[in-house]
Amino acid sequence: MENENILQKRSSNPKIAILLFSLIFLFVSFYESKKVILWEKPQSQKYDAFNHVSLAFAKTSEKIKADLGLSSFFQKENLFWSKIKMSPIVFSQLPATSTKEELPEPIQKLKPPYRILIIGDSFIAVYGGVGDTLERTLLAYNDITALRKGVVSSGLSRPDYFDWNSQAKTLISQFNPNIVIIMLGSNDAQSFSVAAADGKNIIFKYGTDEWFREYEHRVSDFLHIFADKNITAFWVGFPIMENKTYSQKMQKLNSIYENEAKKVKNAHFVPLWYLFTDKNGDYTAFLPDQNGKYMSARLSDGIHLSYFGGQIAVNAIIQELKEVISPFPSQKD
Amino acid sequence: MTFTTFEFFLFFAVVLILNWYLKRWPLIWRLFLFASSYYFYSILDVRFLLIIFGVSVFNFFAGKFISEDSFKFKKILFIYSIAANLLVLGLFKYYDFFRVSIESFLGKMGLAISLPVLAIILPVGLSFYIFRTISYIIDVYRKKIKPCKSILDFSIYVAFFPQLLSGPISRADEFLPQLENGGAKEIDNLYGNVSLVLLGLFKKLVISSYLALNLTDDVFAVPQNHSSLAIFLAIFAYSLVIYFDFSGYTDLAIGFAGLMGFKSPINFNMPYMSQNIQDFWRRWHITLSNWVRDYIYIPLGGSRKGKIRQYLNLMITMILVGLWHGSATHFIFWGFLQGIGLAVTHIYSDRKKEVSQTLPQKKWKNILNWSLTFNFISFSWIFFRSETFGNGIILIKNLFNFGKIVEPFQIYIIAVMALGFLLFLFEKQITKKLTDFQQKLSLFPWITFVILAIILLFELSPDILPSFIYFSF
Repeated sequence: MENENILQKRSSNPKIAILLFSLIFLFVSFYESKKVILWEKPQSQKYDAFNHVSLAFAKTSEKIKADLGLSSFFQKENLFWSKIKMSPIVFSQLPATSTKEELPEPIQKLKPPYRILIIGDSFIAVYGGVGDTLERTLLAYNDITALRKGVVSSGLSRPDYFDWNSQAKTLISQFNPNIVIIMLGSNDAQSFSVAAADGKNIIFKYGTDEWFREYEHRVSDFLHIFADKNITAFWVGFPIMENKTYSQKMQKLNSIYENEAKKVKNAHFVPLWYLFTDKNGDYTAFLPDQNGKYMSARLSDGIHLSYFGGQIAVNAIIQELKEVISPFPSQKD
Repeated sequence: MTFTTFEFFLFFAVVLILNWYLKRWPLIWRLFLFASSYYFYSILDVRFLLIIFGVSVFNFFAGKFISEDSFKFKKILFIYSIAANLLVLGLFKYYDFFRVSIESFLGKMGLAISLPVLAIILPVGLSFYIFRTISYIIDVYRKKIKPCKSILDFSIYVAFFPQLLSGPISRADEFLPQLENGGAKEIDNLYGNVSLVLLGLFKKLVISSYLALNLTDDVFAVPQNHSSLAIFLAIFAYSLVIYFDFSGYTDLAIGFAGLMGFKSPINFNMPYMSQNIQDFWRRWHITLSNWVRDYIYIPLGGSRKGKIRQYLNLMITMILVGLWHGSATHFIFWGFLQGIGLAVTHIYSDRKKEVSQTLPQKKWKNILNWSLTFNFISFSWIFFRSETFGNGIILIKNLFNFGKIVEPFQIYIIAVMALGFLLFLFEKQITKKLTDFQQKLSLFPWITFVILAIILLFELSPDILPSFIYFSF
């Protein structure tokens, strides 16, 4: 009876709730400090005291963890959860193409196991197309582990919508890749705002010199995140698009990716443009397969790729991978 | 700052301490509730404060004058107040929709005009708090409630942070008495509220986010790219995504408010167990359903003006519900489908009543009714989720395109969907078991359990968390 009374009192006692939620903040934020840093964006919430305190607390937690020698435990723990969340795949169909070919001398030979991170926008995120065909194909080889992370409508223009730089760092710490394949930017040909020195935001209109300069910086910074960790990067360019204006924009962005990749250590550019053109170099939705039969390579939106189109792109990417992976692993039985 | 962020946990811990400590000084406590709600809202965009403050002040004084019998222009002010509220909603939410529609209509008539393009952002939660103020004005006019005497209390009612962004849409007569004399002195069922917080986090962080990021976002973005099987699964997965997203938010809102000593109206009552569409709308977004019933359907005549008129009223009401969600054809069509569903349910039940009212319902009939209802609701969500009406049609076309190769599938999608179905089947039992389990633990094991459970939920959450769906309405 007395016990019941104590429980009843506890069930309505505000002090217990206060104790609980204070401890929740302290322990959960300490334990999840990495996620706090990733999730809380200080740039958009200048006057939010709770944001600042929360971030400062997470940064201190990270320091305490490092001082206590717990960093490697939390890194392993992060990887453990990443693996738990990585779902096995069913219904996978192995690619029909054979991969045994005579190869040129590799540029920078990587050693197995190959941990390949695939990141990008809708080209990578959606089923079919490039991302999952690539992931599926790579997973069919020995010594290759692949992790795909695609976010629809993301890019480098709007870090306020999705911040690829911090996401890339997290993925590197969690997955520890030695190769990254990037296909990003189909939503980037748009104006964006940049914080000026006086704290105000200036709008850079797409097409202006300042826009291109800023975008080049962003691409370069992004590639350096991988180069700094000695990760070989492949930036996959866009195929030709149906809409002429949009296509011109994508061609311009391709040239930026290609130029920036040239400047960064261990970065490569994979062109897809001419794999999807007709004899005259124009857009075509239909391309011949191995038997000469014409198949749809594009979707009706004139942007994304069909399964067949995805296979063409993936074959081109694999060819480039062979430049750094030699001998290329055999397929799993 | 949303309920699933770490800074919110800090904010809430501080609010909880001050909320209970300041209650001994009722005025300071109410000032604190006002300030904390406005602070919470300002984090999203400080400009939103002007709008919510303007709406609160206007409706407070409008309600005051409308309630005075001696006031000559009572009816005019009442109509003007409703119109003003709708105008605010219309300007922020529907201006672009009407601009484009009018321009295109006049363009077809040969009158090419262009109305000014206004770069308007929709203040999050506007639709919810405008509905609160409209219900207040109507209830005061109908003399169902007395006008609020304190502008401070009224402002808290409009902006109370747990309910601000996505409801539940509480009524003034439910909420305002809870501010009297320093409000509740103790928590009504601490463990039950903690269960709601845990369950809400699980629904949002684990189930809804996983299915959205790994299946539904992809399929609805480019349906042409998917096999019939993927689309089929995505349609049912979206039923889970939207339910667990919105009911997860509501659980958190009710749980957090409960821990502060406030009671909130329930918003969901196992909606996917409904036997027909009418039943569904009694269980889904209940506070919105009740709102449209009381302030749109009944004033339109409800069922009092004959059968045909009743069906028409149902259609009009549900189309307006669709429009409330957003100014786009696909939402209107979704509302239209709900209206059809409701009208057909009424026609069927009216005819059945004529035949026999006493026959017991057979079990197989219950299963058939449930299945028809769930499939209809899941099908109608296609238009709710699709970015355009055309995209919805493309998705349906591709659903029946059986020639496409089935894409590789993550087994977890099936597992999470199965988990989701089990959760909505046994939600009440699970909540009760979770509450009972907590009650049995002594203090520190209980605190450890809650903390570990929350850490586990965050670990299972994706690295990028999609926003709550109802923030955009």
